[in-house]
Amino acid sequence: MTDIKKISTERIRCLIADTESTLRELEAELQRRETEAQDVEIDHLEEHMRGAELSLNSIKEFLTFLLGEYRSKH
Amino acid sequence: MWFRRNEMCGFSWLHEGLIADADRPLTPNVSGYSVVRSLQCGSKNALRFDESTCLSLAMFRGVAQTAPPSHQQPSGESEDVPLPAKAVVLFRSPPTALRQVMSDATASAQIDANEVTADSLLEPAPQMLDAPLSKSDATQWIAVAVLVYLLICAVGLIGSGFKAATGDEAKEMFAFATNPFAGLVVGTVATALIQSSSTVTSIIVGLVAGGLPVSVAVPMVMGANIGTSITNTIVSLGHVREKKEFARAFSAATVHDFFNLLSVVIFLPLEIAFGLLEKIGKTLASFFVVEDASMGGLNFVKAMTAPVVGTAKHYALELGDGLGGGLLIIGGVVLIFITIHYVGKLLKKLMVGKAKEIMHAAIGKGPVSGIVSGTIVTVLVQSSSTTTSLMVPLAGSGAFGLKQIYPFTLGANIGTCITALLAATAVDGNANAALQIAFIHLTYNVLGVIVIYGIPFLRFTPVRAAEWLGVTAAENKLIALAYILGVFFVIPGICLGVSSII
Repeated sequence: MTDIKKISTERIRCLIADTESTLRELEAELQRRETEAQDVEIDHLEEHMRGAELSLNSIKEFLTFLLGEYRSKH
Repeated sequence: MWFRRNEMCGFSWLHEGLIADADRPLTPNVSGYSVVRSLQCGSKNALRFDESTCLSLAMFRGVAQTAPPSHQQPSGESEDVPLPAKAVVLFRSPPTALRQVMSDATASAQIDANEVTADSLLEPAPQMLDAPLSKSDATQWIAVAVLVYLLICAVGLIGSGFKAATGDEAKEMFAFATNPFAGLVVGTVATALIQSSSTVTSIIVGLVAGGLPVSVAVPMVMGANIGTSITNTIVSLGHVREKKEFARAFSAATVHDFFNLLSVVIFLPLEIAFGLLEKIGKTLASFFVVEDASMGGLNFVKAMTAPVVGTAKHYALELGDGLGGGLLIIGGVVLIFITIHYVGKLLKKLMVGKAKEIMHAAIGKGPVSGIVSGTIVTVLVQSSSTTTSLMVPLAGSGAFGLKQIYPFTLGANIGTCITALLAATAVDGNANAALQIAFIHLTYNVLGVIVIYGIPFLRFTPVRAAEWLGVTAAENKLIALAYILGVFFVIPGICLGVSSII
């Protein structure tokens, strides 16, 4: 950006207004994308329910991973 | 494996199918084949094609199929494209990306629609949200009603058994648990082992009806809240392979732990000093149980369960009060365990569509909406472990932040109280006390949410603690293991040992 001290006051006001408007648009777009991503996850609720069921596999996988990490470090 | 829309009209839940392009040959390297293979292997990644996809996979028994003779290598040898099973991929809204992929299939790879029947499906067809109640749904609802009836009977059995076995000596038998920390530990460890706070609180309601002092039961109920959070913590271990995902998932699980621990830190001293929860529970119970009134005419639930409970009592107590009472308690506990397990399974299947609607409606609407949604979903599926465990993969995916799933977790704490209230409706024995402990459970959880979430400087304390723990455990996975063993078993065990010596 050019030296802002050389920019006129009116121009600065316009730039601020544009920036604030752009920021609002970006925030709205970000919010929209986040909400859409959340909607997608909720649409897959059945899968998440299956994945969230407690099973010995979770513990087994975790312990296997721990052992693997330990062996790779030593 | 590609089908035409009209051939699948027997399945009312199909909105659109995918029409195969018959002109192009199938090759083993085409993405369509690898898509189907990965679907068969249960790869979750294969199910995420684009935002508008709602994918349903029906696997059915079939024979291994080789590629059509038209697909030949230049050398003249045929290249087999073995398929472990046929797969029908059905969409609610066809994904653009997958349509392009599937269009490479050849017509001869299409499934004969006559092969796909309801009996041949390996997995049940998913529920269509606006479909009329099917015969299978009606059967499942009847099963839920029967199981709930048996749950109430089971609580009655425990109450009767406990009363018979202990006579008037319940206070002396549970003298060890008059130390509130011992009661807290008993509730925590029992729930961590049984993996269900609903089961433990239902048992506690039965025991209170049979003579267990309410003051002894209160810390047990608090402990049950802590113990139940082990389930979602273990579920989060399944995300261990990806560091950032594990950090998010572990945080989402442990935020529940930290909330419940903070709740105990606040309310247990208040309960010991002032009997706050006991007094509130007593007041609430008094609105529903009238002293000196005839229960038989007013309590139709008790009247309905009387035949089962009465018959079991009659035969068991022929063996003597001690043995008979013990058998009733064991029978009641086993029955509670079975009924809650199967009610949870059935309601998960029946209510998943409703749960989706509620969660969709709650997105972006603020924390109160999140708490209410968490409560309703938990009441629908009858399990706080299900709701809180569901938050783990949602947070793990990165789509939901910890501050967003936190209110759902709090709602789950409140929603689970319905089971104890249900259990208290038809106990034999001290109905007033049973209802009191059920209301204490509800009050404790509601006040916990109001106080901790309501006070600004306390509100995100569990979130900050969980975030720190998640990041730390992601760096060193041993910390996650140490946390689980320490919080749910080692520390309670030490406390129990110390309190028994004192």
